[in-house]
Amino acid sequence: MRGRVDYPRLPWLGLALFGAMALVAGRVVWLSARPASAAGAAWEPSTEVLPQRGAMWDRRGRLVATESYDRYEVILEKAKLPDPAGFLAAASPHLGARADFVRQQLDDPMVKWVTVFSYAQREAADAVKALAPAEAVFVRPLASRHYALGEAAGHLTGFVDANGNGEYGIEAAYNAQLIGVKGHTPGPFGTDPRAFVPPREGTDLVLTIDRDLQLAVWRILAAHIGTQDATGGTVIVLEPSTGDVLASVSYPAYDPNNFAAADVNRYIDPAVGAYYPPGSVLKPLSLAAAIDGGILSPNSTYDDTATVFYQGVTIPNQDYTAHGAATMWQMLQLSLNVGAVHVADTLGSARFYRALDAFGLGRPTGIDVAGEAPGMIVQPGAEGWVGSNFAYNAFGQGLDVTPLQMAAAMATIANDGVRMTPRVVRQLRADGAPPQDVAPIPVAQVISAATARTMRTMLESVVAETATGAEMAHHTSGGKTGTSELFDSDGDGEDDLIASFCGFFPVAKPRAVILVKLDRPVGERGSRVAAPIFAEVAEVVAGVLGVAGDKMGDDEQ
Amino acid sequence: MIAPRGGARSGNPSTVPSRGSGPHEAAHRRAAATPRSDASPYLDRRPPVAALAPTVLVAVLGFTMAGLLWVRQANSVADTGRAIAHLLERREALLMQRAAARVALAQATDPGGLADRARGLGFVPVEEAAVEVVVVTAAAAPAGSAALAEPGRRSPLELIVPPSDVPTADADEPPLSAIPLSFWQALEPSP
Repeated sequence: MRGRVDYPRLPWLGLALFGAMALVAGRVVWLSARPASAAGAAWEPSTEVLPQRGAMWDRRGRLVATESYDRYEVILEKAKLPDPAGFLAAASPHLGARADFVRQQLDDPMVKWVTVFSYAQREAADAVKALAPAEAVFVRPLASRHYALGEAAGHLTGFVDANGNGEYGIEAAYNAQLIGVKGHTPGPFGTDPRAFVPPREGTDLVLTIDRDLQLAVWRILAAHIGTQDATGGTVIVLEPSTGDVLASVSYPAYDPNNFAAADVNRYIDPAVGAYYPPGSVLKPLSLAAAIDGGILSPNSTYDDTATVFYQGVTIPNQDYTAHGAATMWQMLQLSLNVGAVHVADTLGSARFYRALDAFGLGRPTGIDVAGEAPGMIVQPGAEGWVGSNFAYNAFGQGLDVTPLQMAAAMATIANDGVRMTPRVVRQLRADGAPPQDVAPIPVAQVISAATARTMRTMLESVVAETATGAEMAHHTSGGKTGTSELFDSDGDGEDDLIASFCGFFPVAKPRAVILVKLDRPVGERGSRVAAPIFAEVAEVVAGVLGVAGDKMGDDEQ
Repeated sequence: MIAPRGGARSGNPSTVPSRGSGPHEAAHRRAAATPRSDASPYLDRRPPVAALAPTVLVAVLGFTMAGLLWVRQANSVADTGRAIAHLLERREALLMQRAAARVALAQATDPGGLADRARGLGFVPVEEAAVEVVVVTAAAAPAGSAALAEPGRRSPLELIVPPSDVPTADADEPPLSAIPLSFWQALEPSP
């Protein structure tokens, strides 16, 4: 018979191993089954860690847009709801149109969780929460977007849709930076650090606009829209040396805080996405090109005959008056169409259209907002071109530009001939990184500084002589009025008018370029309607920027 | 039957071949090479207990060490994971607080809101008639006394304006109402 071998410590070893295994198993169970917090909140089923969308600040560090958590998702766990019918009856007044859906979900035996609200306001969420046992109802705040300026800057900011993507304006243009980068967790019952990818918060944007100025300009425009019975309007304030958009408002607007309630046609920013014929505001551009090329001088004269016949069409002055031997000063001051045709004809069509292109008309300015339209200028030889186009184009008819293009072109004159790319973002503040300045982008030296100064002096004389409504109290200002025709754009059988004024102040070293455009105003002419708005806006801009007066011997600070 | 280990040292002459006995040595080799029919060849090859014990001990110790390391690693991973989960919760709460604070700040500094609050406190937009312009001339000021006080400690009434710089009434000077005195006028355009 074989001898038996004893292992007296083997049971103890086995016991120790079993104990160790039990500890491990217990630890695993504890880690897995224990809720995330002492409050017993449910774990997020999602494995994504969503970043917070970046905020927008104005040039002086005041909030323009930020994430807000004032909307709530409310979910019921049916198994823990003792009286579904009673709950439904009590909650119906708060549920509104959603009551039928909730009833259907409560009656469906396959449904264990009922989303009572997917995007509710706090009052409704609190009311429903109070009607169910605490363990049966889960309320989760949802990210939404808050826009401090509301409709005063709705076109500029754009909005964020239900999927969290930016739409229109800055929100769309900088969506990639604003939205951040999602993080990841491995699963619903814990976070394995080896698989954890932290989120990168969205980048904050520092805008070029001034919040107070934007609001003030919006109120000024809205007031004049009302008094002029206009159908719409736009005011743009640019800083010519940098291309910064200090303010940009358009009417009618929409409130991005409640974009779903607005007409979708209002989402497009008319300042960058709508066309209009600039009218006589265009005349300084062709004249600047002619002076810069040495073809004409401010004192050059022509024989103003009240009308001019060109390529089969007759172009009259707006006052139907012959002014005889008129200088370029008079051509601008009196806004003589015959003189404008003379300037363009002297310049030649090739140089004329090249000048418009150099000033940035007929192409996107490159501003960093979504939805910019290129404008429409039919070039000689292109389809649809007829010879008379040239004559109409000479005084700003028969071509379409955006208000921003026109403002940027005037800013070129104000900036000693250097065209700058308009911009609305001046700094990016990424999560965990030093602020990144967005440098101003000069496009080209379109005209010489001397020509630009000459043009500013001539445009100052326009304000002094005819567009007196644009005069400022303590600042010199210059600019040009424009009254253009829309050929029965609203279908009422009559042509419509657009009154505009584009100017700058102070003349010696302009700090701001302001474009004012009113659609179909009662007062008709730009000098009577738009010029006073320019002056009103300019006074506010002067106050905000701290521009000292330069009239009556005042020195600029 | 299993031969006890060390049997070769028992001195049994029948099992210990003597040196030089040729036929006995050859027979013993044959016997050793031929497996016995009554024992399993596997059991036969099992090492004695005394040799097995250290191996088992090392294996147990090795497994225990590995297990402890694994437990420690798992603990660390789990603790870190839970810490991350709690930090994520904390982050979300802080983000919400920050957003709420931002919104509250924006609403508190909203010009319209400020105007309403000022109106509620009894302030009203300034009227032109309510503005009194005071010009202090330097008639009695000694020469070279422009800097009467240290910068930053000078009150507006200490400002000395030389007589030559005192503005004179100008018929072309725009009325005061044309100058926005404050944001009140910008925000509330006069009808």
